[in-house]
Amino acid sequence: MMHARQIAVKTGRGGTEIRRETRLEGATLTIGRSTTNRIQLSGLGVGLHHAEFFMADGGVSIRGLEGHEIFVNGIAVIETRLATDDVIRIQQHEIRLNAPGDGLDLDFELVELERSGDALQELEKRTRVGLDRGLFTQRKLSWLLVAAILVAFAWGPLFVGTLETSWSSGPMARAHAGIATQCESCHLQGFEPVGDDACRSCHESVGEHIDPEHPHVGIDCASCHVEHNGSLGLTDLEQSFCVECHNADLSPPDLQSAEDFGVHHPLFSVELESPESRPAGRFRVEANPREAPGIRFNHVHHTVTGVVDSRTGDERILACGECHEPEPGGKGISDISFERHCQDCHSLGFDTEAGKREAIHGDPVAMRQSLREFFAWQELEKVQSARQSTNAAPSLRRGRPGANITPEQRREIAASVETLVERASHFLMRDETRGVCIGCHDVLRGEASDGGDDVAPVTIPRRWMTRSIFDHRSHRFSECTDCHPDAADESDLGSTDAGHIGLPDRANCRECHAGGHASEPFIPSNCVMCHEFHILGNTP
Amino acid sequence: MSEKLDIAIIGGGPAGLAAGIQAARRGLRHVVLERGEIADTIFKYQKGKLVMAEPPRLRLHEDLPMRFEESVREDILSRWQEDITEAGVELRKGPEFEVMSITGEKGDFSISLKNGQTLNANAVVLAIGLQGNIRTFGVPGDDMPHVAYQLDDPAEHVGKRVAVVGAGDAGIENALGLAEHDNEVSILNRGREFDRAKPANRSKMEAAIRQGSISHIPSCNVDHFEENCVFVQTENGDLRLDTELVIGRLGAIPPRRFMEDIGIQFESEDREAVAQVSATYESNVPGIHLIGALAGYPLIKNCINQGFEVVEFIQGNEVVPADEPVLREVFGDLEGSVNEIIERIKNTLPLFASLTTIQLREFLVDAKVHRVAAGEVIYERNDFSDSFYSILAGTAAVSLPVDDSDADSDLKSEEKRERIAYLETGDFFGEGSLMSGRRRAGTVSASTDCVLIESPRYSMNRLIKSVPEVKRELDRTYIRRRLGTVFPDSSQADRDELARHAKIMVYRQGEELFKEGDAPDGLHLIRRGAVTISKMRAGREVTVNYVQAGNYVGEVAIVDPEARRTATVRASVLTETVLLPTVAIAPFLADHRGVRVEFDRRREEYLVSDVAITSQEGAPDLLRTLMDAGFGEATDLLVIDESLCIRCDNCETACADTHEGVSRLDREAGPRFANVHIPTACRHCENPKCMTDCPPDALRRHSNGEVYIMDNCIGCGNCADHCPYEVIQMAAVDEPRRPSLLFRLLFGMKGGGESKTPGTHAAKKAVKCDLCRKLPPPRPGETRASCVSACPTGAIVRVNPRSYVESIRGGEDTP
Amino acid sequence: MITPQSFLTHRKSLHLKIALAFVLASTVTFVAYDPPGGRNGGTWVGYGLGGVATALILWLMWFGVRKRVYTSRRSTLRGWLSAHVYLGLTLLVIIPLHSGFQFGWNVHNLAFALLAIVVASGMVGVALYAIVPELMTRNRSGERLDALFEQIADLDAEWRALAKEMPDFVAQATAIGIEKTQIGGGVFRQLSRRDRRCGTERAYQTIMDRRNEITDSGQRRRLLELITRKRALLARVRRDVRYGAAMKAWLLFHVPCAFATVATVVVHIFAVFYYR
Repeated sequence: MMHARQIAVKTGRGGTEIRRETRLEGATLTIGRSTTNRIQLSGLGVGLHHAEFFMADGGVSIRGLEGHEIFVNGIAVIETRLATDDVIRIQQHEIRLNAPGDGLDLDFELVELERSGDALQELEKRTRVGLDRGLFTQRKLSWLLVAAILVAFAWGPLFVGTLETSWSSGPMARAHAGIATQCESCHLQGFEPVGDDACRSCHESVGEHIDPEHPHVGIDCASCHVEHNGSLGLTDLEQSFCVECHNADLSPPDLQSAEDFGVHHPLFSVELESPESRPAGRFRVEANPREAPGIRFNHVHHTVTGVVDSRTGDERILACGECHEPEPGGKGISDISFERHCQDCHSLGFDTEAGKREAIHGDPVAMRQSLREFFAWQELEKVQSARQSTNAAPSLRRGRPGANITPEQRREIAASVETLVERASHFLMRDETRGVCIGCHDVLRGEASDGGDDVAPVTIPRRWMTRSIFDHRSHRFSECTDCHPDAADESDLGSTDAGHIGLPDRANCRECHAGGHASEPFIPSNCVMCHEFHILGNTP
Repeated sequence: MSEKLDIAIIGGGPAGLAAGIQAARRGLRHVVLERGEIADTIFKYQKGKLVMAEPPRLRLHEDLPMRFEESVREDILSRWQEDITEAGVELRKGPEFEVMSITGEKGDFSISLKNGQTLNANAVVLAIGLQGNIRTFGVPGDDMPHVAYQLDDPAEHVGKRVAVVGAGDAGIENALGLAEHDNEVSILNRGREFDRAKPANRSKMEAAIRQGSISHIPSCNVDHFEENCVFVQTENGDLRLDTELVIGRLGAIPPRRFMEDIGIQFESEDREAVAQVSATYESNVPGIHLIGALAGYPLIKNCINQGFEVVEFIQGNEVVPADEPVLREVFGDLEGSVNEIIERIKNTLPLFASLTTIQLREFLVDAKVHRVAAGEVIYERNDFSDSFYSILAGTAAVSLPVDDSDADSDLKSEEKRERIAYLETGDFFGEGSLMSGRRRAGTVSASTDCVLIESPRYSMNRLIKSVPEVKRELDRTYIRRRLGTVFPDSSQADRDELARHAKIMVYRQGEELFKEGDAPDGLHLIRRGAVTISKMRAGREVTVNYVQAGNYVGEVAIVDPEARRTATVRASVLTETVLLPTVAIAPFLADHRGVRVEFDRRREEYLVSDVAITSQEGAPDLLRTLMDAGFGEATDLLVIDESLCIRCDNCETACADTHEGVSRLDREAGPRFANVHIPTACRHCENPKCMTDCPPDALRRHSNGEVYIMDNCIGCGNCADHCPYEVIQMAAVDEPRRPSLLFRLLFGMKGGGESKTPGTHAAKKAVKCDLCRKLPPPRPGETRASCVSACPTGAIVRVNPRSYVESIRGGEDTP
Repeated sequence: MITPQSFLTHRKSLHLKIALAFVLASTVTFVAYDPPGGRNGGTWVGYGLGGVATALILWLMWFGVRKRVYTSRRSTLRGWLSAHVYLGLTLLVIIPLHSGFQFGWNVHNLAFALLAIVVASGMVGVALYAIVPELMTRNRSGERLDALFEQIADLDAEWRALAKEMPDFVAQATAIGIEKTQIGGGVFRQLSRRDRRCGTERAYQTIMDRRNEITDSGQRRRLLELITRKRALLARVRRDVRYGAAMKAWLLFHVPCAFATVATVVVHIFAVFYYR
């Protein structure tokens, strides 16, 4: 029989220590979870029958039951003899042995080190409902995202090169592809629009529209050239921009107000350098101004009635394009060149002993000089051939010029050359019936620098409508006569002489072109379709 | 050994102490007997609680050296201690001074005390309050130190073996509290179940027993105590329990029993009835005077004044009542002295003729005197006011709608015909709303210049309880007037005949007025409360309708004398009806074809709508759920449609934000049926139970209907105890400093309603829903209440019960 | 009769009509105005639509403030939510109109992408608000959540008491079943249907596997019944937690992305005017 005293020590919720004493006796004292044990220990980790105290050799021992180990002074044992001050640990319980007092075999304190609490509280402690904890809260995520965005896209582009393009509002025009990632090459200064300086640093020679000193300027490159708007266009063709100035009297005095080609647009004017009986200037097309170009030319003959090839004698009708060839690129029409366009039919030939020869075109003085040279050669040749009839060695037949010509011979030759030149020149420039030069040109008798006849200067303007651009190429599917009907008009209106200006008037263009907002069947035509903004030569 | 005393004062509360001080000043032989602490009720308040001085306009007698002003508990207790010491009051304090019995007559009373002593006194002043005597074991050893009858703080006991005796709420709460603090608790139960306890307590206790944290000893009786143990008899024989503490929670013996033993009579069986006292606070037993809460005056100021006055009266002295200046103020520019006016009121108003002067004075302190010019409206039909008016001079005109069947109609335009009645000097009006708690039935205006006395509901109620003649007169008038409204086309003589047979019936909640199949006993005109109507359908009782005060039930079966009741009618709340018995109503119906036709029409209407509701799935059950949730007496019910509610609790937050950080709404709580959820929030009952016992009269009903608490709440908790729906809480209302909205948004600082941790250092006060009355009025058709306007999904609505039931009955879309 | 109505039908869907009218007006303006440079944010219509959209975004953000102004009676929160939903949706149209349907990998489009997330999550929210309350109500079947918790706690206590007299493996399983059972957890735990690490499940498995070792058939039956009840309760509670979390989780996208949108819009406006 074993006598024991147990002092259960607990700590209450308030922190106070509770000690309760119990006397136990029995052959053995079992320890375990079950209520059948003498010493009951709470906690599910404790075995149902965990261990027992028993008497052995006059002392108290402990042994584990059902395979449970016990920790005595921190060492795992199955069975051991106990001594005072030993500490036995079973799960969260400690059994501390004291020196047994009178009549006791065993005296111990039972201490519960930790305790399980109220089931509901424990459950609630293990419960985490609601989303306002940890990083995943609306506010924290908001701050994080906002901070990240501000760093990456507000601070970043200003200080980190690679982030700069994130501010690009759209693809750059193809022309600028080379500088697409170099924002600072255009955007020189924050909060300032891209200035003309930036554009002109590359585009040095672009002409100004008006005098840069003009007080009403307020126009910069970016007004029309909008970047970041796709890879194709770069030019804002909005005509209201033009109209803003041109519909008012702000324009230079010689400019007339315009609003829209289809609605309000000045009549067409031509720039004439040598108008008939008037000083040079601008004239309305509709007024049929005439020109004195210093040449005679009948379009109708060439295109309708037919002309005779002076070489072959064949009759020919010419197409416009046979003379009016497009310039390279096709936009403009090349100048008429005598050599290329006229000479085939209009021979400058004159008869000589040596056969038919052609005079050179363009400069009467030079022409006469060439005639003189030719005839001199011809006369000298005659002298030479006369000498060759002697039996001189062939190598000697060609002697030093002049060496073997007598002064008389020279005088003779000179006189006959002059006569021949005179005769040929007369034939070319004064013979009305043959009309070699005189057919097209006015001959000014004796007015040339060498005292001979001269040809009045020909003044065909390069362009008549100097303030607009006409692209012949984009009109290439039209007939020439759609716009220039006079050139093939047999009636009185036909272009029968060179003074006639066969240019289309406003009405003619309006047959197809009808202002900026035209709809079918008309072609929308805003200002810049015909008018160049950057006036060449207006370089700052 | 016995002493001969001039006055024995029983009870050491404010009234008793004041009486003691005055007796000491007069040099009388006296004693104040107190079985607990002085001012025991205040003593038991929590530390630092603020004690209010209500009502503010009542003054204390200037000669009395007893100080009282609004202060914290400790100050008041220590001041009174000083005051009684200074005055030399003979105070006998302690459980041994409990009075066991009082015998004898005026001039020679014997008072026996618990310690066996007997005192002799010429006069007795009873100032024991209403708390009653704690019941003791009454077995040997019940005075041993380990036996206690109350548990102040379970945390004071840790790791003890405790036996709790008593299976009521108090016992259960103590046992659970002790178990939580590592005590080994046994609960000793006289019965087998815990059926006397609240359901929540019962289920907690049953769970604790199941889990083994409390051991239950059923069907047992305490036999006797020995040192650190208790002996009990159980079904299985006697048992010895080793305990370090036994707590007996055996209930209290109400003071009424004690007083009836002495011979004091009460006016009615009503639990709240008070004993009648004379102008000198003398009860029906000469020489025994009642003051304080016992006499129906629970306020500290009243108590102190009465303590002073009662001693003077016993001495035969005249006292200028403390209410003199107050009454002067009440009477305003009425001619004559206060006494003359009171005399005039007694003579002019027959209703008050039976009152003693002291009762009348007390009654008039709370009254207001109005001079109303001819033509002025006093109140309008459908107002929610509930005060009572007596005509001191002049004539008033009452206009009532003729068709009374729709008494609760919101629409004034529905009034088709008006009936005008004239009330003369000496008449009274407003008793209908006073009794039913419902809106005003008619509009009253002055037809000549009038002088009116307006009395608030609570002082009328007190009068009705203490003076039966007043109640009888009110009932008589009510019946007469009600019959006039229900049967307007009958003759006065016929109605008087009906009235002679009429009986006032009172039904507790759940009690049946009559059952389906019963022989009809008559026609019930519902005076207050509401009833549900149910029918048996396929062996199941199905609720088909509910009817509120102002209507009548039982007309279907009385048309035909052979008929049986076709439905069961049950009081859904405390209900009062005027029963017109068959013997009286049957001949009346025979004479009045018009009424018969009307009854027939209603019978057919009910037949149709009853079928409509029973054919709708869930509708009767929904009605049942609503009734259980207090729908029957609600004027405004908060309903959540849970199929729309996203559980964001914005309603609660908004409520708290509107009300100093304390939500008056518990969204999660409350009954549910299908998707209809009735959260715990005030229903603004017709007869608000919370208003029944508010010492400072801080609970008011606005004429718009909302029941609210004014700032003069003293935090007594009576209203919270009375509310059957647990919508009143005691909270320390102290709005915490709240950061600006910007800070709250940016950094999540909580404030106002969002913190849900209001400050705790302020005094606790009662808080409840006031329909956000302090907020600006809403646009027409929208509610003022924050909870509703803050609902993002529109799941929460406030409904008018009547129209809501109509919609359920009519099969409209229900939430 | 006051019948609760979803915020979507507030005032006969007034805000839906306003939103549709707004979208229509914007589209008409957009179509009518065709500048030669193409429709884009840099045109006057572009600036106009951008300004309107910015104002609208700020107004939509104001909902967060309005939600906390509990005492306002000029409007109901329900009306605000209705307007918030419908007008918020219009941004999906207004912004592309503003940009002239130009999209690219830049900060400007990031603003729109974020906004699209906000609107999309908002639509998810509306859907959740329409579906989940009903499911939640059905799952709770009239009981309060804390009542369910109490029932679980009661079962735990009962389990503990029962296991006290049962074999060691039951005791150990019980300890796991009680102490390792967790309700809720992180966002994803709350949203997932089942908890793999749930102690009760582990205990249930162990006990089911070794139930033959419990010799007392009464105990065995009680134990199994108890665990089964607890599992059912846990499933219900977890479903409830899941529903509750779902109704809030979408806001984890909605609100932070909304703030991020505002930040990005600020950067967008800054960048546009900084690099003009």
